[in-house]
Amino acid sequence: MKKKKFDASEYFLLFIVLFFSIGYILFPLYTLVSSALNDGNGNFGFSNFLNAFTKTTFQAAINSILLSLITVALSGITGLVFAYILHFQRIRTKSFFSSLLMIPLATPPLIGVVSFLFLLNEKGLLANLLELVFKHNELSFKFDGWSAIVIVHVYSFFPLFYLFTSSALKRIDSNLIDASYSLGASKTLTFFKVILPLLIPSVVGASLITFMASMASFSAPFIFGGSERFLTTEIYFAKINGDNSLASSIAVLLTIISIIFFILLRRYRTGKLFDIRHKGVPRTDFSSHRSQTSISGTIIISLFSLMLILPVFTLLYLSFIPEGSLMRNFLSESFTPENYLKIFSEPQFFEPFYNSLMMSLIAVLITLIAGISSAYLIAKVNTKFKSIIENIVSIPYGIPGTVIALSLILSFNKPVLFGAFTPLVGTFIIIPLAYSIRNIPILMQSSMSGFYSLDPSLEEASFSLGAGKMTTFGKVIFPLIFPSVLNGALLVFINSAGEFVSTILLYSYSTKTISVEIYSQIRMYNTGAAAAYGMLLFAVVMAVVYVSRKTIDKSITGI
Amino acid sequence: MSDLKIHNISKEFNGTAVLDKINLEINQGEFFSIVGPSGCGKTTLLRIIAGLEFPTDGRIFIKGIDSTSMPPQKRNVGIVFQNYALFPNMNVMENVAYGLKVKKESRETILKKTSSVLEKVLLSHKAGEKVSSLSGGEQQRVSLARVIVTEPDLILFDEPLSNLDYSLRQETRNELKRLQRESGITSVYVTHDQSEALALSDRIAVLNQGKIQQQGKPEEIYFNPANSFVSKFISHSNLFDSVLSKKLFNIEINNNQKLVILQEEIKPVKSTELKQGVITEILFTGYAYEFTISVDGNIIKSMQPLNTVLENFSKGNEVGLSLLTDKIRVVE
Ligand SMILES: Nc1ncnc2c1ncn2[C@@H]1O[C@H](COP(=O)(O)OP(=O)(O)OP(=O)(O)O)[C@@H](O)[C@H]1O
Ligand SMILES: [Mg+2]
Repeated sequence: MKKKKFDASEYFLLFIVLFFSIGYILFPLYTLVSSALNDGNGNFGFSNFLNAFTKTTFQAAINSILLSLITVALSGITGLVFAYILHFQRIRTKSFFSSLLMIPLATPPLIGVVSFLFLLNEKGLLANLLELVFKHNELSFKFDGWSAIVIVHVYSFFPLFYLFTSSALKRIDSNLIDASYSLGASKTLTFFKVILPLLIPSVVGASLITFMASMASFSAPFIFGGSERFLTTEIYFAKINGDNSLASSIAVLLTIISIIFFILLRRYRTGKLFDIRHKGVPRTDFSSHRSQTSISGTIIISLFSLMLILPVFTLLYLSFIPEGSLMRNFLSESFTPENYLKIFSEPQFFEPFYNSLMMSLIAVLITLIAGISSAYLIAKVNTKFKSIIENIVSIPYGIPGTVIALSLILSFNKPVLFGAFTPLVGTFIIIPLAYSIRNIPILMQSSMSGFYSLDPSLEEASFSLGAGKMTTFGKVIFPLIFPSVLNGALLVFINSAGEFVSTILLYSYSTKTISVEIYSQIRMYNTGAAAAYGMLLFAVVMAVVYVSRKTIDKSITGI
Repeated sequence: MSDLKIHNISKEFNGTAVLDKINLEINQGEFFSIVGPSGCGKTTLLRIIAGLEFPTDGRIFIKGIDSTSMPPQKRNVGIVFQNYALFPNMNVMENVAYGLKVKKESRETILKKTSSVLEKVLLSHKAGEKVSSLSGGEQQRVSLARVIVTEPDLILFDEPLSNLDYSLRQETRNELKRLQRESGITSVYVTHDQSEALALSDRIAVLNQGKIQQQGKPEEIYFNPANSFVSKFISHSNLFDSVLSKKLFNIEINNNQKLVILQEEIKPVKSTELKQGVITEILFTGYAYEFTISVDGNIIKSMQPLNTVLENFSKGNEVGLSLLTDKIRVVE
């Protein structure tokens, strides 16, 4: 697939990629940095940073880092324990438990936060249930601030550790473990001396991703944070207060930290994985020679799984009881479908739902065009150029959503070329644009994996059989990369449908999305409406996950 | 007393029998091979001996002690795997030292023993290297060293040479035999390659479909196969039914019997009166010619050392068959 000269269609693709990378990745970043360096009187310098570096910002930075470290540690332990039990103990419905992990993975962060709010609030479902069982009120507990944020973070991030470690475990030849046993090592010793060292690269990878994601996390600190300050929420409040230079200085600070970890991650991934595979027939079922089902393992896993379902269950429960504040006894209320009926009968309540779907579809479209184009160029052109494209298009993965939103606001609050010479701030299109920027790396990666798995001789075979470029792309290339591209597109849709972090900075009255609406309903203490919206979003996301698993399996085996 | 006694071992996986009433006794210091086709249960039997799998029925005695339900850690049985199973997170030295560290030997002992074993397997100069940087043959020697250093009562080999290419396989095979002799550790060696088993072993058991077909010294099995499976699998013999053996060689056998003729015991002859078959293929293998002769649609193989083939044969020649033995062997 390699050749030197571009033809017309490839120049067109190059134009698309350059337009997107320069207009929506580099230009906003440039605007952000120059706004951070501009002191307002036209002088450039670091005065904003010196002003920004007050005690509160410093405290926010410390808090963000501390939160991320705690999140990494606790999610790591939880994910490893989960993986250990599922792989090394004989558990009956193993695949059921591991598919439950899809729930926290696919749940939009805001929905996770809201469900935990309803579940663990001092008057939440759990408190009500405990009161019912123990018959007195002193049990009421406080659930906010640090503990709340950490719980939500662990809920969202431990499946990542589970997935990383279990895919590493699947690659470990179980003969290694048998060898260790027959050399006299006990199970525990084998775990620490043989298995754990082989898992370390995966654990480090998951830790870096989790660290970046918790630094960028907005929903949980925003809703549970109270008076505690974090970098993401500081940016938001500075922006809301109209202090653009403060907002952009903090944003640059946060971005620098994120990008450092992002670079570490990419370095580490390419360099450090053990070559675990060998020739021969590795056996990988570690639990095969134990005939007994592990009771304790099953109990622990069941409890874990209950914790996975409980938040969603709470959401479902609250969506069927009448509107009202959090501060009441839910259990005495009667069920009603009125929350759902309201959304579907009143246009003003249906609009956010519609907006979210439309915006996600537009985002999918934009990422498809720009993502496939960049992947195609990367797969086709010479090495130096290809890593430049790949690196630029990957940048947004390392930038927190809050920062992306802020940089878009600063760039498109005036007529510029890339905004078609109209100010985009406050319009509908700026929101799907933000989603596209945030998700472009995902689509590019998935299309690239499609292109790389193609056998280059297929294209040549098609040419030699007399097919032209277009026919070859339509009949041979596209069908083969379709599963990977579809996979990426569905992921983009899922991420966009519940996006809150950048939307909260970018929405206007007429462009409210479902996530913004959930937030404002909670602000108004309308638990029912918030829960119903949450469930709808959850249902859409789960439907997409389900469909994607089905169709992707089919299209792969159907080839 | 035997070092390993396998008594009536049977194994089922989800109701399917994989091993059926296996009985074997292996003596002190012996090199014992279990040979059989793919899927016959060789690996399963080894894993049962090592305690990595438990038998559905039967008992295992190691040095006279009933070890049937003993965990693998307690058995003092070492395994050399087909895919080496070296720990990729440790270097050569650390891999070899692992078993001693686990047994909490002192630092000096560990150092002394590992260096002496590495010397034996000719890998002292690679002690500090990553295992992934070694060649296949070197990796296999590390995996053997890792086992020998713990001075096990028994070493189990699961097709240890099958990942190596031909010349390396010969070399490693001789090396392995030497190391086993020197250490004197009782060994059970599993392979599907009969020539490997014949070359290495003091005694052999032939396994097929979970059952022992025959056991004995290599020569015994080679020259006196107990049934048609063994004769085909071990010596690639020609089998003739009663009609053909009467017609070709004028030898009378019962209807349910088959005449066994080894490939080296039959040869084509150019003869004008005796036209029994047609040469359909001649292969030159270096030290011998391999003839394929078709007799009324039956395929007969003949292998003759170069210096015994005095005539010029070519494909399509009509030839007679000459027996080079007067021993009559039959199988059921
Ligand atoms: N854990 C298991 N569960 C179910 N069936 C098994 C298991 N292990 C082995 N088997 C089956 O038992 C039979 C014997 O397997 P085994 O691995 O012992 O054969 P083998 O003689 O070592 O073959 P090869 O020469 O291919 O290594 C095979 O049919 C295999 O599918
Ligand atoms: Mg085997």
